[in-house]
Amino acid sequence: MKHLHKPKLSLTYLLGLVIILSGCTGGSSNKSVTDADINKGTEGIIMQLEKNAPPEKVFEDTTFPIIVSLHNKGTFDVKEESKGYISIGTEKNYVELGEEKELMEFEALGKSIFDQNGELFFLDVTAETKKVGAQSELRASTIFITACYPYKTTLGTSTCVDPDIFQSDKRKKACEVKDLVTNNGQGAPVAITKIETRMVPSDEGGENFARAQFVIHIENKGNGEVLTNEREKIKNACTSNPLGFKDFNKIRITAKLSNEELDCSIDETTEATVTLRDKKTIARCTSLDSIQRNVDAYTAPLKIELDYGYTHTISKDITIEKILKY
Amino acid sequence: MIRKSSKIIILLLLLVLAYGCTNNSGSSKTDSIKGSEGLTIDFLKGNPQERYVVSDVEEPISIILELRNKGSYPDEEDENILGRGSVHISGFDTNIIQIDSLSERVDREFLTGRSSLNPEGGFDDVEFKGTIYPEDLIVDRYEPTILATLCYPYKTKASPSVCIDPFPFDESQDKVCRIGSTKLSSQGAPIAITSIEQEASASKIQFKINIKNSGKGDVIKFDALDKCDPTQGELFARTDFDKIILERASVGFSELRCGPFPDGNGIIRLNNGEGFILCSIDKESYENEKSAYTTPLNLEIKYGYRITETKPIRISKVTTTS
Repeated sequence: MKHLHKPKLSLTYLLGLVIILSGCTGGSSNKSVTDADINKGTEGIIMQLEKNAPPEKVFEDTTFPIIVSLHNKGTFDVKEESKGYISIGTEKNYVELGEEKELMEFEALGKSIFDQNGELFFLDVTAETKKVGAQSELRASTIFITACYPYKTTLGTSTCVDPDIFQSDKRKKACEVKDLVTNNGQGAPVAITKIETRMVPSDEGGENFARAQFVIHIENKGNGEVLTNEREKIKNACTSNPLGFKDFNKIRITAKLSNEELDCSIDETTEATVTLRDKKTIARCTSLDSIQRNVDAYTAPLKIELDYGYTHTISKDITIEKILKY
Repeated sequence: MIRKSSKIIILLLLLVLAYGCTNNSGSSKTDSIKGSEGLTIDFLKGNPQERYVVSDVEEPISIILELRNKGSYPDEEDENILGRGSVHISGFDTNIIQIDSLSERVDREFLTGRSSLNPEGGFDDVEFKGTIYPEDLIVDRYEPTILATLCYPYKTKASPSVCIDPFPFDESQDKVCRIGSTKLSSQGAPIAITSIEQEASASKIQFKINIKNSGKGDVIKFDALDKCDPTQGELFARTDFDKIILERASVGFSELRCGPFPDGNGIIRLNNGEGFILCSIDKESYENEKSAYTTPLNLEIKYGYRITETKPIRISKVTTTS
């Protein structure tokens, strides 16, 4: 009988060891704080109405809550000089806001390695219904909430700079000039979807010099509209003040290669601004400094920033009922 | 029962030990001159580190390359020309990573070839010291690939036995050797002499000497070695590649007449890593011999060679709460 017990014990020990060992390997993670990649996603500020706030049915001459959650799921901090606006629109004949203003300012911090979810806060407003009128028992109405805020898309990457335009130098190269496709976004509603990298001959210094040029593909991947990044225009988008068609779809672009500013303007007189058409556009940025062609290919840091305003609206239909006495 | 199993275990252990002993025997002299490598280059572990996390202050960086001579050149009698070689690093933004000197000469003193006395060959370290400047790091994560390029001169020597037959068409004689082809094993160099094809006529014996780039690098014209260093400001031309100099081709005391040399005197051109040269010896050199005999065909070629090694690194900016 004793002989029969031995293998069972060994098997138990073996199983135990396997469990302990597997536990040991799975328990630790090599990912450090700095490794966290927060610069992804195509969402900026996400706005939602809380359930039953406002309720679908409300009675006349009563107050009801409107609670809006604002979640900054992007990477840009909407704060201080870059604070946002939120406006609540109602049919004034039927719904009146309480003491709260119709236009409010807000701040919401974006994602960071310390808060990888971004800031979430709630806006609580009390509204009051008016009489629905003698001839009606109920009245349909809509509540609109519009957010208008400045936002920024930042893409930081490493790119190959190879001044040997025609690949005539037979020297071995550390990197290869190629396009960069970024489908996951950069943590903002406007995304850089592709960067085409090319080396072009320099008009200064003759044939022995080259410049780096980047064709940047930009797309509005969010549900809202892109505005110019002028503060006053962003505020106007949340009020009844007029906006021209030229105030929409404008994005200011700045880019740096190896800490040197790139030229992204169409000509010398204009600012580096691009206009979205059907939610898409391209920008062309060229290095100002010429690089000598006999310099070995190297990897350089490339940083692209897009500045714009953004606005989007959510709404909810409510029904105002008369309180019937009999 | 236990005793029997113990005996089996001891027997197995002995077998394992005996197997290990046979594998650990020292290299013979023949081993020391084989292989298809010359100088090799490798990044010393941790130099550079795979990743750097930098704050606002400058961070030192050290790139150490280990050079080994895994080939047979130079031996004690050879003139050591390895000092013409150089190693340089590139592939990174010099605003962010500033290295004191991007190019270093190879120190020939320590890079002796493999031999029966030194079966591992010589080795040396080349260090590039520098600094990472975070103020020019405009992105959170910078990921360059460091490319180390080693260009060096090298020589391949071979002395295969060939048959010298003054009467190649006389079948009536008993001969110690016959004119034919010989395949050669590697010679401890990146360029190998792979085979000798012999052909005899009444007036001369011809040797077709086949050459191949058996290493992992590129063959560079000996005179163009300095173009490897980008700091010299010269670019490689297509004609700077795949050229080998024939330094010596002799049978006994007789020098062979060799050709064709379309690129100049003594230069053999490789095509897709392979090439050949035709050499011949006139009958006057061996007409006094009465019968066939074997003798070494002494061959020596000289060339430049380029190899590279890469190491990707990552420089991340540390984010602080302040």
